[in-house]
Amino acid sequence: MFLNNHYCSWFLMEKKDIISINEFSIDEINEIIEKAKQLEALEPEKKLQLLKGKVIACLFYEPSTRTRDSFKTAIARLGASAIGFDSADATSGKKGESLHDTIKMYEGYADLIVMRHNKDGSAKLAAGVSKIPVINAGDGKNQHPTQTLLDLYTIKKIHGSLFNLNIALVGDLKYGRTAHSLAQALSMFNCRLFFISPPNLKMPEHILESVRNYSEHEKIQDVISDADILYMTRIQRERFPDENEYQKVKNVYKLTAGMLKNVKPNMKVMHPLPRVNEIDKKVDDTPYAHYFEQAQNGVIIRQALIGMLLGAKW
Amino acid sequence: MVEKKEIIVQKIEQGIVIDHIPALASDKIIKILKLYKRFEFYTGINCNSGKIGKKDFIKIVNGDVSNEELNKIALVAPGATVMRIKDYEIVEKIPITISEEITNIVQCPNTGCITNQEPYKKTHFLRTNEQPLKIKCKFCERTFKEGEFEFL
Repeated sequence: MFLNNHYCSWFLMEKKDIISINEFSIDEINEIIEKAKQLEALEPEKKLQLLKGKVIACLFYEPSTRTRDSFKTAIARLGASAIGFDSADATSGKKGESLHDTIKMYEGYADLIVMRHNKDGSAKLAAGVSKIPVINAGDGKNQHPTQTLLDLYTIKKIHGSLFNLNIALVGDLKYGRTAHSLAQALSMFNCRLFFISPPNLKMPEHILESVRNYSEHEKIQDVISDADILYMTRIQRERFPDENEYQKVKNVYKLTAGMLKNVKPNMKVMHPLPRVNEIDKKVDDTPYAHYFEQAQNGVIIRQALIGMLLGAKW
Repeated sequence: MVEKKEIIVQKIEQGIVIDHIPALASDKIIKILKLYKRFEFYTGINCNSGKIGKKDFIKIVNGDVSNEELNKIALVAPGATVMRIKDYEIVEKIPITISEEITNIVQCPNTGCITNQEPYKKTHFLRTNEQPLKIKCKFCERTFKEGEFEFL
C-alpha cells in the first residue's frame, strides 16, 4: 500500500484513506477535529494556497447535493480543482467498466479521489486498488464517515467535549447509514444513546452489537428532557422495498417548537438534511435549531480531511 | 446360520480421510474441493456415528489437502476430522481450524456488497467469533453466521 511518509510527520492518523468511522481511534478523531478547528480560523487567502495545483476526482455514482457540493466548495476554497462526474449515467460504468478499472484510470488523472457509490464496500475496494488517497462520500447502506466526522465536529463545538453526552437519534434507524456510523462513533466516547424509531425501523442487530450504553424507545417525549443532542433523521422513502410500509411511517415523527419547552438549555437539534416533515419550520426560529450550522461544518471538515491526506500544512 | 459381515467402504492404501462431517454436508465439501474433477473418492452418507449421531465421511484415494482446502473444510464442517493415510494406516491427524482471514473462499451474502458486482470476484472476511462461527466482510462490514454464506 502506498503511504508517503510526509502524510504522517505531524499526523497521528497514519492513514492513506478515509473509508469507515470504525477504522478511527479516539485520538485520531480528536486530531481531525483539532486540525479542522485550526483550519477554520485560517484566513481565506491562505487556505487558497494550501492545495494549489492539485486535482481532486469527485466520482459520484449516486445523486447527492449537500455532500457533493460541500466537497466541491471545500476543494475550490483550498485552491485545488475538481474533475469527475455527478451520476452513474455519465460514466463508463454504464458501458460495463468495472469499478476497479475506473479507479485505476482516475488514479492517473488526480491526486485524491472522493467517491460516492450505491454498493456497500465500494470505497474499501477503491482504496485497495488506488495508489492515491480515497475518501468515502457514502457507500450504499454502509458508511458515510465524513458526515460522521462533521457531526462529531459540530457536537464538540456545541458542548466542548464528545465524552459522556446524552444523544438521542430519531427516525429511520434501520436504513440510515448516518445514524449507524454516528452511533458507533459516539459509543467510543462513552455517550449515553437513546434510539427512537417505529418498531419496523429499529437500529439493526449488527449495529447494536457494536455499541454500548443504549436504550430503545418509540416516542421523542420519553427522552427529550435528558438529551444534550436530538439528532433527527428523515424517513428515507427510496430505501423502502415496499411503498405501503413507507406510507405507514412517513409522518411518525414531527418535532415542533412546543415539544422543546422542557429541554436542557444547551440542547441542540441536529439533522443531516434534507428534512421533509420531521422538523417543523417553526423550530428553525428557536435557539435549539442547529442543522444549518451543522451543514456548514461539512465544508470545513472535508477541507481538513483532504488537506491532511495530501500533506498540506497549516 | 449365516455369519453377518459388513464392509461399509473399503480402506484406502494412501490418501486422506475426512470423517465426522455433519450428515449430508459431504456434498458441499466435494463441490468446494472440486474432488470429482481431481481424485477417485468414496463417500459414506448419513451413517450412524457414536460421536455426532449421523455423519458423512469422504475417503480420497491418493489425494492430499492444502492449508486453504483445510480452511474450506473447517468452514463447512468445523467438527470434522482429517486424517492422512499411508499403507492403510493413519499416519497423521490434521487439525482443522478456521484461519483469522478468509480470502477468496466465501461469497458475501449481502447482495448490495460491491464484491458481488465486480467481475474480479475477490472477497475477504475476518473471523470475528470462533464458536459459534461469525465472519465479517472486510468490504461491506456486515457480519454473517454459519449457514448464511455460500462458497465462491
